[in-house]
Amino acid sequence: MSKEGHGRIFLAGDAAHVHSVNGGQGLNTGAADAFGLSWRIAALVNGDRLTPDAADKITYSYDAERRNTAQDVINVAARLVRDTMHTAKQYVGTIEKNAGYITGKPHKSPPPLQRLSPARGGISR
Amino acid sequence: MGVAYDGMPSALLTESEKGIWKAGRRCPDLYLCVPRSNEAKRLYASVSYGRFLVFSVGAPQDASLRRFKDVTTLFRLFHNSQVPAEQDGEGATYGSDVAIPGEKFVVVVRPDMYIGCVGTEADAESYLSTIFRG
Repeated sequence: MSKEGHGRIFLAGDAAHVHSVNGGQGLNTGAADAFGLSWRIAALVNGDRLTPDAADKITYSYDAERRNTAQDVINVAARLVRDTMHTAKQYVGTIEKNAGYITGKPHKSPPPLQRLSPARGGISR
Repeated sequence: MGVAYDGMPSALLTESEKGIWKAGRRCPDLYLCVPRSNEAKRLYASVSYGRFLVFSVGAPQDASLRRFKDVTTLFRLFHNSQVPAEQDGEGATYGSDVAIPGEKFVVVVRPDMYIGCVGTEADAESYLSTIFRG
């Protein structure tokens, strides 16, 4: 949100976070901002059944979640751009450490798609 | 996929976890096994984004959540060995290997497929009541 998170304007994408291109995270982060925002705006506009506090919770949770994410993205891009002054190995090391944001594959893999139990004759992973 | 909101001061997350479910993380994909058939489908192929989901795991512990029926989609998950024969018509019932025999809990997933809350039926009701009235 604008005004350091207390304002009335939703910001997303490059309007919300500016950083160097390293890591190629800008587009994904903007798309993810939109993904986090779209259901919130729908809920706020439809407004049915919301509690009196819900609008603030819905709005400012967007700031809490996406601002913190954006800060991490900016930090990774900054680390990478500084690594361009060092070895390729260091650069790649930083990419690997931040794989969760850059490649979409988290450093700790998420739980695998649960396989069907063999008794059901189903697909095994 | 590596983005997670746990640990952030968000009003739409209740820090909580059980098994593979952790509030602030993306809802995992699962095979939903259709009872009394060999059919199974993936969770993410079975929902469209935009509604809160409620997973009642291990027992139909969702009576107090029925008042949120029109704003949530209910799934009842049982361990494949324990899927009950009769259901009361509420929600959609599936077998799943993520249900642990003997354990029961409720998960609320937000419309962006991030987990909002993991805990008891009362925890889920409390979470949904902060957003929806009536």
